[in-house]
Amino acid sequence: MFTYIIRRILYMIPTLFGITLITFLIVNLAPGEPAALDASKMNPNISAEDIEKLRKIYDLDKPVMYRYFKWLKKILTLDFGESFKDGRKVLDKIAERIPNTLILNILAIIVSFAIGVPLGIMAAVWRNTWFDKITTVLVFIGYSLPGFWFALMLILVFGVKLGWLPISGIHTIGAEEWPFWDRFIDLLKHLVMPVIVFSIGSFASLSRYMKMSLLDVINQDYVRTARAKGVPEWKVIYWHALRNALIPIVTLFGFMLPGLIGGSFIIETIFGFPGMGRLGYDAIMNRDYPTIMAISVIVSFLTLLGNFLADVLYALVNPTIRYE
Amino acid sequence: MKRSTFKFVIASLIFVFGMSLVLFQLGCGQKFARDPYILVRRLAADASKLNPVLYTDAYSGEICDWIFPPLVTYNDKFELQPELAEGWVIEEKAHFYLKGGLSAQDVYANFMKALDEGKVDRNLIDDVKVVAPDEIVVTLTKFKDDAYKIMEGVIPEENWRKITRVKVVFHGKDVGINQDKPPYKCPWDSNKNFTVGALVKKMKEDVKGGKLPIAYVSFLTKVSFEFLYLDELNETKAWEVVKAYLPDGIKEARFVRLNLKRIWDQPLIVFKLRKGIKWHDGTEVTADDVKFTYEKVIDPNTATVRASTYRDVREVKVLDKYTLSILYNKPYAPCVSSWYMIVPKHIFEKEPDFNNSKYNREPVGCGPYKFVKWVSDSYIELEAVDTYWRGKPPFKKMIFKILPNNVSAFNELLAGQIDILGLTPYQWKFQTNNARFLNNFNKYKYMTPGYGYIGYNLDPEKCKLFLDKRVRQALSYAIDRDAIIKALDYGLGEKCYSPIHPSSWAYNPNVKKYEYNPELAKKLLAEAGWKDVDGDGILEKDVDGDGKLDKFRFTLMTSAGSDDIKKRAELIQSYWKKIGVDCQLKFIEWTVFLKNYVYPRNFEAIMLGWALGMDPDQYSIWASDQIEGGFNRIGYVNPEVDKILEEARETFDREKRKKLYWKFQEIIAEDCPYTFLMIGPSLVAVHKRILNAKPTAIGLFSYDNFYKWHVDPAYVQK
Repeated sequence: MFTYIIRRILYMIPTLFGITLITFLIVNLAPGEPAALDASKMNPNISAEDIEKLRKIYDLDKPVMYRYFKWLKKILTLDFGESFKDGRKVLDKIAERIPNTLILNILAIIVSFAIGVPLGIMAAVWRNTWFDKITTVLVFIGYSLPGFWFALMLILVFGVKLGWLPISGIHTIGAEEWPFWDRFIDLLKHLVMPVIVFSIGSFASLSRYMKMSLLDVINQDYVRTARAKGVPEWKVIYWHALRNALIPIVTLFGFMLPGLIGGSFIIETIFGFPGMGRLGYDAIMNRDYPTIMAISVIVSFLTLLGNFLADVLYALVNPTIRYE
Repeated sequence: MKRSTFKFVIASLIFVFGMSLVLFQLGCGQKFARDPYILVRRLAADASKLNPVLYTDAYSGEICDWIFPPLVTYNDKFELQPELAEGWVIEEKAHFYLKGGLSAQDVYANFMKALDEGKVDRNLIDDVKVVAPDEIVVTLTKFKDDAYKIMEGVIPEENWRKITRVKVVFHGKDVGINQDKPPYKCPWDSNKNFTVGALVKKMKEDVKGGKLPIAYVSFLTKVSFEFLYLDELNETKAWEVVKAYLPDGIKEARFVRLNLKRIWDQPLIVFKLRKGIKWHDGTEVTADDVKFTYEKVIDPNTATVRASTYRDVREVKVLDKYTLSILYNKPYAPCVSSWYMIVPKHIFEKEPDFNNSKYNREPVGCGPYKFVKWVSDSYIELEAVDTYWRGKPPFKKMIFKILPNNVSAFNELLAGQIDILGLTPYQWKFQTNNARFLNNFNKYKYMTPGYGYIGYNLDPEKCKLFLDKRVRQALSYAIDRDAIIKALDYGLGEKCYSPIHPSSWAYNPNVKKYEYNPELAKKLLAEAGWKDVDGDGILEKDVDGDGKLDKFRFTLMTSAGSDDIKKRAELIQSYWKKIGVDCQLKFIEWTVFLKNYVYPRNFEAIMLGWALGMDPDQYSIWASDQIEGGFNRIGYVNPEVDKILEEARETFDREKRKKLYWKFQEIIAEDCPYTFLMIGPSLVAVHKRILNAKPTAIGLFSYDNFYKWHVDPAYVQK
């Protein structure tokens, strides 16, 4: 097991390296240039000479591979460089958004697990009853609801018509001077709609996974044995069956790790939420190469880590799996 | 068994129910009561750098406008007026050169005599100086286009050395632009690639070293430059001068203009700053700040795109604490308005990295609002400065909420969380005519400079279809713009007739107008030789002279991604179909469209738009030397337009300038290199409590306009 972990960690290094190279090439070879340049090219008051100068300052007059190795050299000292857009350190830009994104995504994951897992269990236990049928329909509706539409509907009802919830942002402007408790309530109010929208899709799919995996397990011999022994049904389900049925869910949880800081551009844009999704999207639209690269390095690192953790957790919760 | 499951279900249900109850409970909190004196605006994307020298995005600009006022600004007729400056005068330094042994001292004495005798207007002369044995400089109190006349009679004709202004334009291919083969090396340095920029730099060095009798060299575009030679030159002699700097491969140069001048007339702008304006940290704004800003702009290490605005500035001099003079190489009428940037010297001179200084994020300005706070992708907060010379602004705070999504921003407006919002035509027409909206908001429509157009490629090497102006006129007559505006803009746009905005002082309302007239269009095409020979509904003519008939068929390209643009192009296609023109449409992703088609001028016709400034100068769009390296992407060549635009941008007298632009607009209307489509409307909703917030042609937020706004007392809680 130990050698396996070491090997997996060592494998991550060339993978990460390859990912950065491919990402760097793609973002640099994509048509268009950093926004400052692109915007200026269509402005009749700005001369080509000025644009050339800017290109030089950003090193864009150099070949792609030269720039890649320069970037790589800096990365090794964990220097992600400065954003082309506002000249700030990329890491600072990311750091100021991570708390927002984390709080939103952790809440969304908690909500989707808290609703999805029990819902799946109930649907499995009561399969083919009216309850199962209704939840199936509801879950499919939830799963197929377009997030942006649902978000706009929520905004229209709770933000505009009823006026109960704030529409955008993460704080009310000027809330910094409020007492802690008011500020906390204010934060929660701002989070309600984004959390609902974020969790609705994932709790729907989670409950399906949960149902399917529990159904698989319920038909296993050892469950039948447990029942034959006369173990109470709740104990059969929650003690014998559920433990094994949760194994795939653990894997899913591992896959959710990169999503924790990934954010979603569309939902964040609609709610004016200052999260990672918008940072990434803006960086791509502005061809802000340092920011794009920093985010992709972090996200791909977390994806690799998530996969790795999922595998390790898998082995931990499932004694039948052994890694050599 | 059943009971235990039942228990669990009940528990789960209670949990879900409880959650939703909690959610609803949270929603029932107190509504945020807004302060009517806080103006909340929407910003569609986060700002980048709050530094007037560095920003390139409109969003940072919107905020900088309030923190950093310009020295001069425009009024609603697009005329310049002072803002941070109290006023300005344009003086002139006229250089006279002598030959044939006549000494400048003698001329000086004669001129003094003429002054004493009253032959020369004394009020016009500020200073006379002999700067070299053969050069005399007269400083005039006012820029005169005919300043050489004051020396007529004083300097005999034969002793008057003429000077030559030379403008050189290369063929793009000659200097290695848009071609695959490796560029030439500089003849003076084999390590460097030859470019016009390098040539100009080298020439400037040689001028400084006294090797060339040249007053100034000015880089114009990637393929053109200009210099003022202090003697008479003809084409052969000019070629001798230029050839010394060219690599062997370049065999000839095109001298677009070689004009003889009698004097070198340098304009000198003298700005007088308002006294007592303070930076927001209490330091006074002085002429040193302006000079410092200028130096930062032209510094090659500054990541700004505005350096070329000051390309022809020769010298910036601080005369006293509040006065500074700016000497230009040559007359350039829009130059006064280019002095809009100012940053605090005392702050930035201590900053090692101007580009990435923390003060680009916490700016210290001197305008009516000062910076308070910037929360990334959330909001930017400004606070009123009561000591600005215009007085107390109507709102104690101005907050920019960053809301990228149009629908969410509109919902924020409906929910009363923002006060002013630009509307889409659809919102204007269908979502804002209900009583609830109209009780809370006023709606305004205005037209800002800019227009949509169809540009025809007039370069005969690329496309031969549109070379005849009757064809372009026919294509323009064939489009029913009223119908397009009605169908796609809900009747809100306005037809465009001229490249200059109708509110501008330079606008000519009497130009030829292309109203919908398909019959006339057909007639013009017939006159131009287009006939439907084979009866398939598409016209034919032999355009390339190979003896075979060509069909009138071309591709109109525009950017993909917008449904509105697509519909517009399809309508135009159908109008052209009616006069027998077969137009294919091609929609291409924006950056690819620009890079592969627009910049290399690789198209037959394009549909695009211009957003323009307040000054009518459009040299870079229409002049023939701006085809390569400029913005004349359709390849329009008209020597008369070249001459008019050049003269207009060098004329300071507004009446004279106006006449030139009137003529320019007439020619453009007749030549029809573009089919002007429409001026898109700016639509805006403003909260009812704000009175007097009526937009003018330069927008809603000009200082003049803004200082007239006030809050309706009825909305102020007692």
